[in-house]
Parts: sequence; structure tokens; C-alpha cells
Amino acid sequence: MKDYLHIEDVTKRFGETDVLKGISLTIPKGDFVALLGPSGCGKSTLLKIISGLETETAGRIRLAGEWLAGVPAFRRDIGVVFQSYALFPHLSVAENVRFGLDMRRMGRAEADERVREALDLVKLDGLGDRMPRQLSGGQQQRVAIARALAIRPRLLLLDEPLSNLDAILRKSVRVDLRELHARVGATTVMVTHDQEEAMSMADKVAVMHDGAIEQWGSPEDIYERPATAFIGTFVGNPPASLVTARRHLSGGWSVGESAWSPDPALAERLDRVRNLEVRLGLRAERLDLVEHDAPGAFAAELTSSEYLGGERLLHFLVEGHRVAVAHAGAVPAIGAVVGLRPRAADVMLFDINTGLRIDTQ
Amino acid sequence: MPPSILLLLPALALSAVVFLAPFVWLASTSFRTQAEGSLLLADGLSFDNYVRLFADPFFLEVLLRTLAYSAITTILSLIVALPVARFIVTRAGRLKGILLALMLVPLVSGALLPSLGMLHLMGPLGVVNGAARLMGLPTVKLLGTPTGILIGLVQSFLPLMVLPLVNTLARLPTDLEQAAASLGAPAIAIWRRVILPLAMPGVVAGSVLVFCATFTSFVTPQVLGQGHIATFGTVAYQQAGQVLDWPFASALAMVALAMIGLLQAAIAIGSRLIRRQEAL
Repeated sequence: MKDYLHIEDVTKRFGETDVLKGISLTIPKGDFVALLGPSGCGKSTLLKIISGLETETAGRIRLAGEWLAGVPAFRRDIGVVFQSYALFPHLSVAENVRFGLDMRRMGRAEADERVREALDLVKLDGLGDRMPRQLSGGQQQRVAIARALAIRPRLLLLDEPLSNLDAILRKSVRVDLRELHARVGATTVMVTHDQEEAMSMADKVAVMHDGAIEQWGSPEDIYERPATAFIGTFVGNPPASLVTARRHLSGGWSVGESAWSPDPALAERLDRVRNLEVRLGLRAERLDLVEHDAPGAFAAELTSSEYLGGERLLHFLVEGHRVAVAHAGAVPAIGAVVGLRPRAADVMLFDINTGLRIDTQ
Repeated sequence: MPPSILLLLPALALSAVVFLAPFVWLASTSFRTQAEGSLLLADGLSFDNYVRLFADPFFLEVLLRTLAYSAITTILSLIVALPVARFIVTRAGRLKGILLALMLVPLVSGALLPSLGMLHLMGPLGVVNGAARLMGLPTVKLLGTPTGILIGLVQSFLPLMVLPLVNTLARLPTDLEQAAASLGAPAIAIWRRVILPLAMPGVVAGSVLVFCATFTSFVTPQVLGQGHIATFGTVAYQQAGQVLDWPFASALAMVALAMIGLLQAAIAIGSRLIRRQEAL
């Protein structure tokens, strides 16, 4: 089903504030989708609206062919894993998982089997009699997932599922969740502010900013062809750096006060830009360190360097713009001025006014 | 003994003089008797007062009635207080402070003023019956009836139930209710399976407070009962203030105290057992 979850022009207004400004999204059955955005972008509100825990101001949502308007949360058959896990502290692990089955008045034998199966799935078999507070954070999270999956939900919603786990656990849970999704196949929508999580786990990512979806595409799309400068500087580790270049009436270019002569392939792309100024989006791993006066390079002053094991992340100042470069070779001294040369095909161009990417290739 | 303990001495001394000493005197008086026709305490200690209390069907009836009123008041208060507390916690917003302050008013205004107010509401010419008469409905006798007393008791002691409930309900994460809803629980099931079990500490605390306050209450049953209905408080007052049988009044007070002590002990043991079971 190509339009298993269909969100149509959903808006949400809290008092005077538009939290969601017309969200439309269509998600096929079985996909793992991430809603990615900084805090306050409206992604959690959208999740709450899908689950029925919050009501949309306008717009409509269809799930598996059924319009959800007026269907209360408890009749939606949507499993939600909360950021806090929200395990019932007075119920054992097994009772937590069984909760949704009790609500469906499932018979004892069948429910027992379901609970066992769900705990098996998250590798918590044998811990059913424990109380939630006796479990580690990672185990609590798996109980929350088992509880949501036990009802065989039509849709699984994950609200910042990894944010309460420590850094080491987070990486392994990322893989676990992906594998779980491959086994269960439940259509999943995950909300996260962590671009790395979204990019590594999701089939498709909706980047949200300020109550609207700025881009909807595969992780590769979003990394290679960000729709806006905001996305370019939000996605990637480190995110892209922005440098403003200005065209002279003579036809040459400058960055800040210094003249810049881009290499011919890049100059050709730049020539198709209509404005006098353009923002260059530069990926850290796609910049070469060269002599400060090398052709096609702009002069940059090294301000700091981070050792990441194997390579270093160098931070430069280019005419007041901060630029990060991933670099494996010899490191110049702090304060040294070197040249940074972008590779023509890898420079992203963004409109100086709208921030939209200018597709010139 | 650290010298800082000395700082407690003034407070301890004050408590000893104004609380402990009268209590000891009360306890000892309950084992004394008065000679026929005399107000002076006779020599010697005896259990006569206690024997009389439990042997006389009148006093036994008063004891049982007071226990029943306490239980009913506790249950009614709980039923009324749960939605009120829930509203204060989840919906009141900026009104929360004002509502809590209003809740406290009957507590700090003493028992007499609210009871006199209830008198005007429930009297034969009061607001309730006046309105009923205007609408051509039959009037109800509230003053001097158990119904009237129970209404007054619930009104007086409701804050003792609401405040502990507000306290526990405010600590419930809203996530839990949302999780329950997403798992298919309608509002009633959320209340029964999530909110109430987790609000139990507040329910127990509020119930103990209301039960004890009702059991020992005097003004409300006296004013609203119009002297027709005897409760523990009114009987103790009669014995001490009108019959001037201080030893017997003391015995009544001691029994009331013992009842409250037993209740507290039962709840303490009960909750410890529950906690131990949960820890397993």
C-alpha cells in the first residue's frame, strides 16, 4: 500500500502560534520514516496528532484506508513508545506488556502467548516478573517497545527513542531497532532531533523546520541534495559550512574582502546564479587543504583542531565564516593561513535570500 | 548527645506542659470515679468507666454510629474530591493557586462558621427548602437528620481529602495516561488501571485524615444534628460539660484516641506489607 499513512494539510495552532503549518506526507506500508528537526519544529506535535493524543486544528489523516478524524486515541491501534518510556510503575514487565491486550479483552492463553512473544522479540524473555524500576534504561525502553508491539499496532510511533540512553548504548540500539523493524515490518514513524539517528535508521526522512516540512526524501537525498541551506547546516557530522560569495560587475568573485577565482567547472555553475551573492555549502570531507594562494582556493585561518582518531576536524575562519574540514594529513599550526579548495561538483549553492538550493548541475 | 539538642528544650518543655501533662491527667482521670451525687473524684483506680461504656447499649450504639458516619463521610469525600483534585491538577492552570487557597478556607475558619452557614442552607426556611418550595417541590428535612450531618461533615473535611490527592496526582507523569490511551484504554480504564492505583498514597492519607477528623468531630454533628443525634464528640461534650462526669468523658476521649491509634497502626502495617510484596 503506497499511501498507508496519508497526512493531508494538517495544521495545529496553540493560541496565536502556528505549531504546524500545513503538513502533508504519504508513507507506504512497512516503511521506517523519521521526522527530523530541531526542538520546537513541531515534530512531536505531529506525532501526537497522528496518535490521537492531540487534535489537529485543520487537515486530515488516513491510516490503512480509514480517516482518523474523530477516532479517539484508544481506538486507533497505534503503538507509541514515549521518550520517557512511560512504563506503568505499579505493574510488572509482563503486566505492562499485557495492558493493551487486556484492553482488547484477549483471552488469557492467547495473551500469555503474545506477551511471551513480544518479550522474546526485544530479548527480555525471563524478565516478565520484574518491576520496571528494577530494570536498566535500555531494558525499560525494550519493555516500552514490546508493550507497543504486543497490540500488533497498525502503526508504530517512536518519540525520541534513543535520547534517554547513554552514548554507547545508543549506537547498538540503533542497529537493534533497525533489525527489529526488518523482522516485524511494522510501519514506523520516529521523531528525533538527532540527524545521525534519522539518517542511519530511516528509509525516508522528513526534515521539519518551523512547523513545516522542508524536505522529504531518502537520507542520501537529504545529505547530497539538501533543499535549503538550513538542512545543509543541520544534517551531516559535522554539518555543512556556509560561505557567502559575491560577484563583481567585472565578472570575478570574492569571498568577504578577498578576491576568489573558482575553478572553471565551478565558475560555470556560479555563472548561472542570478543574484549578485550566493551561499556556498561546503561539506567538511569534500574540501582540500592547499597553499593559501593556490588556484580555486580561498584563504583560511586555522583556529582549532579536534582529533577524532584516524582523522582530524579542523576549524577555519574564512572572512568571518566558520568552516570545518575533515583532514587526515599533516596539521598546520594554529593561526596559520592556508587555502581551502572546494571540489567543483560537491559545492552546494543556496539562494542568498530564500536559502533554497540552486540546482545548476 | 550533641549540644544542639539543647535547642529543642524550650519546645519540648512547652509541649510537656500544654500537651503531655493534660494528656496524662486525662488518661488517669478516666480510671477514676465520682461518688454518687458528688463532683469530686473518689480515691482509687478502676475500669468502671470503660465497663460502663462498652456495656451500655446506648454508648455502644453511639460508637458504632460514629464509626459509620466516619466511614460514609470518608467514602463520600473521596468520591467528591477525586474529580476536584484532578481538575485542580490538570485543568486549573493559573487558577490553581486560587482554588487551593479557597479549599483551605473551611479548614482555617474553624468548624463553627461553616456549620452555621450550612444551617442556613439546610434549615426549614433555608436556601434548599426555600427553593424547593418555590418550585412546588416537597421539602426535605435535613437538620437533625443523619443526611444533614453527613452533608455538613463532607463539607467540613473535604479539604483534608483534596489536598493529599492534589499532591499525589500532581506527581503522576501525564505520559502514563497517554501511554494507556495509546494502548487502547478509554478514560474509565485509565482511571481504574493507572490513575487510582498510583494515587493510592494520597487516597490513604486523605482517608485517614477525614476519618479521624470525622470520628472526633463535635461542632458539626452538634449544630446540624440539633441535639437529636448523638455522636462520640457530642456525647463526650455532654458528659464533660453538662453532666459534669469528667472521668466518664475522659474514658470516652481515650476510646476515641485508641480507635484512631488502631486505624493508623492498621494502615501502617498494611502499607508496609504491600511495599514488601512489591519489593519481591
